[in-house]
Amino acid sequence: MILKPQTLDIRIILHFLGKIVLGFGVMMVLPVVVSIMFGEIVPVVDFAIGFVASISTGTLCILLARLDKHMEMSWMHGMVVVSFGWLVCMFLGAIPLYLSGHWQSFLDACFESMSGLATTGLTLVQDLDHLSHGANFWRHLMMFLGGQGIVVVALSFLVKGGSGAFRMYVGEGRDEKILPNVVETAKFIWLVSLVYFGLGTLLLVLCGYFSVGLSLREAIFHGACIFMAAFDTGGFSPQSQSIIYYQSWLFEFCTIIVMVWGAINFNLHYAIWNGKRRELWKDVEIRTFMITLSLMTLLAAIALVKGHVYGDLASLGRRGLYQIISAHTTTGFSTIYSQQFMLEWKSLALLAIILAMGMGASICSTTGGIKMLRIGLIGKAFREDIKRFLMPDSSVVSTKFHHLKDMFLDDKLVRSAALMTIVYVLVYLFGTAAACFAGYPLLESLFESTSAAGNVGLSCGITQVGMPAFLKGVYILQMWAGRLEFISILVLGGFIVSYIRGK
Amino acid sequence: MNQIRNVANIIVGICFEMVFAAAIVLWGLVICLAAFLIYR
Repeated sequence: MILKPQTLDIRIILHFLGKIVLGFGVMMVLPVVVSIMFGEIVPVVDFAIGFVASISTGTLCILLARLDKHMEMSWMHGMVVVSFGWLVCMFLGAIPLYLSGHWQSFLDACFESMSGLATTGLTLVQDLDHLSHGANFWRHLMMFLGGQGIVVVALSFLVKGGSGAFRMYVGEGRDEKILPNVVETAKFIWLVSLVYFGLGTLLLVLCGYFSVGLSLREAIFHGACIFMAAFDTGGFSPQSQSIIYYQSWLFEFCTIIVMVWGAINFNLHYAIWNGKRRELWKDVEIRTFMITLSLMTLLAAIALVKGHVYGDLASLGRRGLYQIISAHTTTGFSTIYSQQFMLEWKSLALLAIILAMGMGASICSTTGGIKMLRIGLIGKAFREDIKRFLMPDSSVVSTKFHHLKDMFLDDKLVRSAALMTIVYVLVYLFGTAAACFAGYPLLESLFESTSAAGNVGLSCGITQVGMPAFLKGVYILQMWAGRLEFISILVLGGFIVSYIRGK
Repeated sequence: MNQIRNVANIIVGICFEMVFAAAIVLWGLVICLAAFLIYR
């Protein structure tokens, strides 16, 4: 028998949902400041409407569901709050975008909002080059908030610590605590992000001003936006031409530096910042990342050179290598036009980029995809099995790996890594089937689906305003599921079923 | 004294991560060069 959720469950969920929405709404003040700085009046009104909608929704939720001291949050509550919270934030974040008039429908604005929050970077905006600075900043800010985690924002400022806070933190696709207290962990994630924000933005502003030739005001705007998109491995850019717009190898190089910072596990940042620099070489995630990145670069380089796509090393580096690093860190910045993937790149190079997108980078970072730790563990398990066949029957084979500390590989870890990998692959295939159903060719469908579910944002041309509405819905679902790593969304599904069918 | 050491550690750590990212680009370029020389 399925048990129907009680009023108490709804109250707990609504209370914490209200806090998350409140935190999200407060952030809408920042694009208002940007709009005022650039002398834009109309966007201020759009954001005022979005702000009022968010604050009133959050306040209403909290007022409707006051909590007593004895009310404890369970795993189910935490997971439902997170997955439902992301959906609500998607709708609220889409309001000022839709009001700007640059999105054809509210569905398109929701697509953009989820793409931003899930740090994907696929876009349905029309005439991006004439979008107001305020709305453009909001797209990038949503990436910054989603990359760190909307729950992390709420935990840092609005929610007290405790088991409930940890349950929401896990629900957002992060199961590694950096510090014993989850609120302290959330604050450390913000510390790292803000320190890098200062440094990375300065780097990009200097490049934009001296190397690209932007005015100081535009250099600051572009520097801040590109930093947020690069560090949170999102991939939005203030101009429709992505990184091609800047026409500067130095700017491209700086964006790679920021993308790699974003692809590193926050736990590793913590270790390195505490003087344990050797952790970077010892960690199984970084080692796996180096191996897969080398392999994918080699595959793509061979295909591009053999196919005479790029005639010199500089072009191969600035186009081929850049795309592979952007795909592997799941950022989605591009130095070629989306149609060039299908028209110029050969199948082997496309395969390399699809594999890179699918694998992703570090756990507990801002990246998407399967993640390097899981790939590394599965690889080690394979090696252990082969070793077992080669050794005498009586020998005991055990494998050690280093991830923040030395650990022994056990079946439970391998099972959970393999399960998650299978789920990711199934979701990639689900999106591929949906696009094929809509009439797109197989390779393009696989490319776009992997990009959406891996939260990458590179596009081969399928994602555009004219694509079928149901495919937009499928990609929204994939981006949402890929970012939250499925569990909390499945729990939300179970919660809805038990509410409808439970007794 | 501890505070100064902590800040110094953070600065060195950030530089270290920056060098790591630059090394990734260099390593990628070496692979591209190898592919270029062999398959050109």
